[in-house]
Order: sequence, then C-alpha cells, then structure tokens
Amino acid sequence: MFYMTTDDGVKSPEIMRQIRSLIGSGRIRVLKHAASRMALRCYTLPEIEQVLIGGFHEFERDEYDQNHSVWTHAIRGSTRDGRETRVVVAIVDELLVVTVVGPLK
Amino acid sequence: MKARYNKVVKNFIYGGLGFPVIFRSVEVKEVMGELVPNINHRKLQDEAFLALLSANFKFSGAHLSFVRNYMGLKQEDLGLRLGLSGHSMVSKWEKKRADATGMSSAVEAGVRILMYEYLNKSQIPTETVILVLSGDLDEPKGPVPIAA
Repeated sequence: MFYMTTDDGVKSPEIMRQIRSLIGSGRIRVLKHAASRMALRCYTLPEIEQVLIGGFHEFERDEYDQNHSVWTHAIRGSTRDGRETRVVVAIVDELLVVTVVGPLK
Repeated sequence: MKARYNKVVKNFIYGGLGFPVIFRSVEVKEVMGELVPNINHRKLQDEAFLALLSANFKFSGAHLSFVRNYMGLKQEDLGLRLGLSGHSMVSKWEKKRADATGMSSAVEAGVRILMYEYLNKSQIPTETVILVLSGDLDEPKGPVPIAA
C-alpha cells in the first residue's frame, strides 16, 4: 500500500491505526537494542507509547530488514515534556520497538 | 515473518520499561532473533507501578520518570504537585537514570502519596510512608521484581 504525506507530516492512516490498536491492547514488545537506547537516553515505556500514539509516520525512513524479512517503520512525535523523538517499530503480529532516537532538534 | 512461541523462563530480566524488571517465571517467545516476554504490556506497566509504590528502596531517575509518565504528568505538573517551583528539580532527578534521584525522603514520600491518590486508594498504608519518611530506604539496586 502506498501512503501520501505532506511536509508537516500527515499521519499514514493504516500503520498508525494498527500501532494505536496494538498499544491499546498491550501488544507491544521492546527489543534489547531499543531497551538499551531507552536507558541511555532516559526514555520509559509510557513515553514511547505517547510518541507512537501522538506521532506521525515518516514513511520515507521506512526500511526493509532483510535479515528478518520485515518492514520497519519510523514514527516521529513528542513526549509529554516536548522531547522530539523518533521510534522505529516493526509489526510482527505485535508491535516491536526496534530502536529509539532522540531527543531530535 | 511469524513469531515463534517458546518456553517458560525463570528469572528473566527485561529492560523494556526503561529500567530492568525481573520475572520470576514468564513465558517467552522468539521474535526477530531474540526472546521477549509473552505478556500484556499494559498489565506489566500496572504491575511495575504497584511494585514501585511499595518498594523498600529509593527511586532511581528512571523509576521516577516511569511513575510520572504512567500518571500522565509533565515534569512541571509533578514539580507543582510536590510544592516545587517548576520542572527543573524533577528534570535533574530523572537525569540520574539508574542512580538514586537524590530527592529528600519527604519529597519521595510525597511522590508515593501521589501514586496512591492516582490509584484512588482510600487508605494510605502508613507503614510505607513512615518507612520513606524515616529515610530508611535502600539505594536502588538490581531489577524491580514482578510477580507475573
């Protein structure tokens, strides 16, 4: 499926709908690399969920992970305290947090 | 790519909340080449919040950040609720990451009272508050135990 977006980041509807649904039902998992990034950059899971729920899909940063044969999606948003953050996720039955980048300027 | 279901693992340490928690026994499954706990993360956050509420150790920066965000508060909101002038002290405490926040015992007791209020508990267990106020808490060390 192909999604259009604008410069100010219109949300990609289907991916974002899936992400919100998975978070709402608690079907989110954090992979080891993401957990270490979170600890290093002072993020906790409620903040990551906040970014994913309120953020937008940066579809131009999506990548195909050949090792695991899955697409990873970049979601950009803000924490409650205004830290601009990018969260990279994959959807494999559940929402997998692959890495966390931030705070972005 | 499908997740593969695996087995029950004892003493599994998981860092997905932003700080380590330890499961005494949990079902794990393999996804993208690594084992993750096969549990509902909404329930996990609820359990971690409750575990921190009655913990007999001081909060680390990551614990405080988790508790605040779980309650849906900005740093400034928490600061004001604790009688501080703004967000700066809360930000300083949270930047301690895995180390103790360095907040006073009275303030830490205040945080735990806010946690009880958030949970709409009608009665605050005074022994917890007394323990915190007495400053007789251990330093944060090791993962937070989760019964699930």
